[in-house]
Amino acid sequence: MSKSKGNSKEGYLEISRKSNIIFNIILTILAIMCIYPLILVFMVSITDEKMISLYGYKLIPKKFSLYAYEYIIKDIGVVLRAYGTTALVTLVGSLISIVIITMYAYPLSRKSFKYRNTFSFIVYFTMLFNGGLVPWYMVYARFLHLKNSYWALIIPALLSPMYVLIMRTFFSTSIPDSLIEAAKIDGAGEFYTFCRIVIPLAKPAIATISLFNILSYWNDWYLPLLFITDEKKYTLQYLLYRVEKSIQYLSTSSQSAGNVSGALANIPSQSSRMAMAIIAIGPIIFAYPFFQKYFVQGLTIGAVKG
Amino acid sequence: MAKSFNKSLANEQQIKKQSSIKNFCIEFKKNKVLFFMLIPGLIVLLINNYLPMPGVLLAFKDYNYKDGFFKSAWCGFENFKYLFMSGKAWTITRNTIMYNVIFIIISITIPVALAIILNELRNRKLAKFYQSVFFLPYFLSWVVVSYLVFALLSSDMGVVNAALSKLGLKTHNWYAEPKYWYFIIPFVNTWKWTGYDIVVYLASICGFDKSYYEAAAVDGATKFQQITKITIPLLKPIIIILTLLKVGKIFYSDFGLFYIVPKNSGAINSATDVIDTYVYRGLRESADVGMSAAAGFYQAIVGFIVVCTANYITKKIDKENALF
Amino acid sequence: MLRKKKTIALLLICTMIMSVVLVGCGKKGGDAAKDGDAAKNGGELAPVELTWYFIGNGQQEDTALIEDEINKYIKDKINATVKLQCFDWGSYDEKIGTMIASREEFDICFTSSWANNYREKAVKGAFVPLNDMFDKYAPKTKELLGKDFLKGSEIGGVNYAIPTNKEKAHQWGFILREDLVKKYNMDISKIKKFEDIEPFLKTIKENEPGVYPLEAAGAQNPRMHLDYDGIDGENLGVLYNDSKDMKISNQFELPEMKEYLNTIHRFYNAGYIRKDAPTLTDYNADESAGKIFAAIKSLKPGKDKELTVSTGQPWVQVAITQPIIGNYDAAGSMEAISTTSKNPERALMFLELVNTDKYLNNLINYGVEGKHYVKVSDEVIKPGPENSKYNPCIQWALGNVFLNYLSEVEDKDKWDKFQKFNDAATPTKDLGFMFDPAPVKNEIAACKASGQDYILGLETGMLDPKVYLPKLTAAYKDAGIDKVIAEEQKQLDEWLSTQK
Repeated sequence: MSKSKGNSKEGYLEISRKSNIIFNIILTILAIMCIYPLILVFMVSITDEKMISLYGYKLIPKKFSLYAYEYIIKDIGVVLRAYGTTALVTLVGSLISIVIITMYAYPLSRKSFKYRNTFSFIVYFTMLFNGGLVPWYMVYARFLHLKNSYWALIIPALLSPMYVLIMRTFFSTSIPDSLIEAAKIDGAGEFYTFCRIVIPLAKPAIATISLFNILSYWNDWYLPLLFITDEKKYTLQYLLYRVEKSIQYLSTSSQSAGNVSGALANIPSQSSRMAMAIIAIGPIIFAYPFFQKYFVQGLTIGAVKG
Repeated sequence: MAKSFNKSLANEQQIKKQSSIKNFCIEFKKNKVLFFMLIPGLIVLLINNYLPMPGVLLAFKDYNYKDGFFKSAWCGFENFKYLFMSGKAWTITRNTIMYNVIFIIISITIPVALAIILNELRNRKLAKFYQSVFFLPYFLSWVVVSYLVFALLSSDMGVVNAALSKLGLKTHNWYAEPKYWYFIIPFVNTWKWTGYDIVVYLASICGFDKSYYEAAAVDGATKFQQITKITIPLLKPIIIILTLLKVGKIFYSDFGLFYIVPKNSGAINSATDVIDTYVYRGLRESADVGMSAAAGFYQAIVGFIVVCTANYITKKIDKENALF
Repeated sequence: MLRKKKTIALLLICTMIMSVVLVGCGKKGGDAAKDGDAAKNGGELAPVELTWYFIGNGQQEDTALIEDEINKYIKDKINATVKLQCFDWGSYDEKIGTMIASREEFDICFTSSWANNYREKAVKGAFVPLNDMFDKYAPKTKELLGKDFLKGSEIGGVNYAIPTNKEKAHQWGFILREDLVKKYNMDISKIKKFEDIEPFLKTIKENEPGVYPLEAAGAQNPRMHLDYDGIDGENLGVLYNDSKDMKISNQFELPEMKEYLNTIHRFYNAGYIRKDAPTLTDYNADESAGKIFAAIKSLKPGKDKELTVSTGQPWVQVAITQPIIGNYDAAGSMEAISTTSKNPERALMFLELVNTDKYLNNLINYGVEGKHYVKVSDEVIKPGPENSKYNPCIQWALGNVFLNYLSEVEDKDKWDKFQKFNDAATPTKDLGFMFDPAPVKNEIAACKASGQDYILGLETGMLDPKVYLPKLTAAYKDAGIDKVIAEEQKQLDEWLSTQK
């Protein structure tokens, strides 16, 4: 790997130039493997449908056409409202979720808390065992009367066991015990310690889990499928899922779908799939770079000493 | 250090003799705030997971709409039979476990290595760029991925076959030959998830105290030594936790990867059929709640036993980092 | 560890107790109340609200408007108001399935053999048995549908849903590209059976490089032309339509199937079929791009015209089987009344109106005259100024299609032709027999899951039947197909004895 050649700074605090170049080459190749498919998806989405049938997926379209987007965004008002709904659910959900998750993970990370393993188990157990779709649906629809409500889209994803346990681990490893002891000696209560000391130091962890939460809320189409019937409350992902399924149904119409209307002739089934992927990603693709600024090393420097 | 350790050990043994409810009260008084912090999470768990939990019992009932949950008849292990009945039971179990093991091994090597490399790159702007790019595959749904794979592997229009024939090599009907899928599946899975896993490890590394590295550098340690002696040991807890979490899901599979990407082409099923796809194929259009509950129970109970065992072993070796 | 076990046990017990209490609370009012007695006019009945869930293109914008019109119209007749809720193709099954399983209250829902599975749900008690109610609340509908159609959707002698009155039979045949047929002077009257297409396929293969001679894909596979009468949903056990001995067999052991598999494999090797056939589900794209010459499809009068409109390529159809009315046709599109409905009698009365009242039927299907459609003549309409706000396009699900107005582009004699088609059809020998899969549900699930490995490949000709057909048979036997067929035979024989 890297040798301690070169000047005294290299090899100790930085990797050698040679290694850097090698790594960059490898990373570039990997990056191309990740970017190329996305570009291809975009290119196919603006290709004329018949060209796709005849020539397959090509990076440079033989014939441009924005028809796929027109077909999906039949009514710009509907799409904008869906974006809005999704954004609302995502924001509210992620905010509440990160608060709940960090509050739950903190006690689990405190070694002095005797029941930490029990409560870890309580949350982990739900990752493996669950009652199934029907009982779960009954709780939301019949007991809580949350059918057609935004809360039905928010509550289920508030506490993911995996995120809780990852957060717990982050707390345990990046917050030195000595720091918390020091705070205690100074007379701080657990909650104060939590807010003033732990949270600021755990920024990378909170950024990570927030990012995952946002993505999970943004991408969900299953909850609206089950609970929402009011057209105005549908989220973006669900609308896209619906368009895709309609195309699928109409394209593979079995003998039961007797009256196939003229609409089928022009369904841009292949290009629209790709267009939907692009629309689905939309603004959320900027979420990652946004959170990147929190992935900064060295927040704990001086915390122990000071 | 040893003295206080012995002391706390003796304390614990003493407490065990008292009743557990009393213990709870003591602990509650001592750490009231911690308990209160747990409450919002517990409420969500209650509503979302524990209230419906009795549904697990549906696996043992012959659920009928008229009789509902309570009056439907018990039917023992009847609902489980179809999982083991056909000659496929061994294949799907083998595939499920094998792929999960491969995925676990890959996920604790490649993303870790990449995260470390990214952290060490000299040009921070480039590093950030790479990080973002690696994350992109996550955004593409399995449906889109299946079409991209199809564009590569399609028999008549696929890129791979076109390239092979240009080079004068034999073309293959990729969706008809199982053996290649043992490589295609892990490859596609790694491509999709590595960026996501990298984020977790990178966030961990950011939490490490830089003074460790500075001290090591002063002592004359090379970069390589710093990585192996500081970074990797510090990553141990998160790696262990993630592994334990994945181990618990050893009988579950990502449905999109195993059903949608192979485009449900029966010919390669021996390589791509896993428990989840088997259940889906078997119960499609069937309204049988009991049978699907049975499948879920089967996967859960096996995962539970495995993870408890793994957790137990972890506790013996490294008490701090166990799951529970 | 012991302490942990105690905690777990305590937790589980607590949640179970709570769940019982809560489910009990939720259940109040969930039982279907009896509406007491009946018929006649609105004045004597208390006003109720009926909810109707059906499949389609999604909730139309002007639905509320239509509901108002409907309510005005039916108030005097049955004193009920109606809420229409359409779920789109992708979510109907999941939504209605979950609602039924969790015993949600509603009145009417769409059901069929391919969505909201009629057999499975009815047998598990989701729908209200209608036989006794027909004479009182829906006598005209009963007459309309005729004995055959009603019989076809019986389960154990009981009707759990009302079929839509539409084309009753199915018929299989080829659709061929009319322009290519003319170009090569093909005499399609010579095509009487599947193998007859071969010389035409050869011509296309040799002369049209960009065209796949024969389409073979998942959903409507050429194998369908064999037209076996499936006893269960998976065609594990089948009967001949005109079976003389009423013996059920595994379709893959029948001689016609074996011959077909050999033929299609020959076609695949000759390059008449797209190599990716088993993985394809969307063949509409290929059809619209002009890449397909021939395909096997389910035919009815005017199917080729419909396809011409929908794909933009010219097609002509050639039938190779006779029109048959089978159990699946009867269950192609039906409306059922949920056992959670508080007003099953009123719901049935409403359905009677939908099936017999021309004004109501067209109101639901096309909207308000002048707004959503405009009349061209008494029976013919065309889209109106606000057509996009209410255009459900699912006439085959919403009541008696023979009442529908015709669109401008359609055949004026469409309903006559349909009627003739229906009348010319012969029923299968087991019309009215619905197999109850419960005793062998495990074997069926196991067969379904293991047969998949081979079926698509064999049906599309990719796999060599000499090698793979024995493997499929072995896989089926391992999964217990013999038990399935034995049970099917047993139930069939029992049913036959009650028919005598």
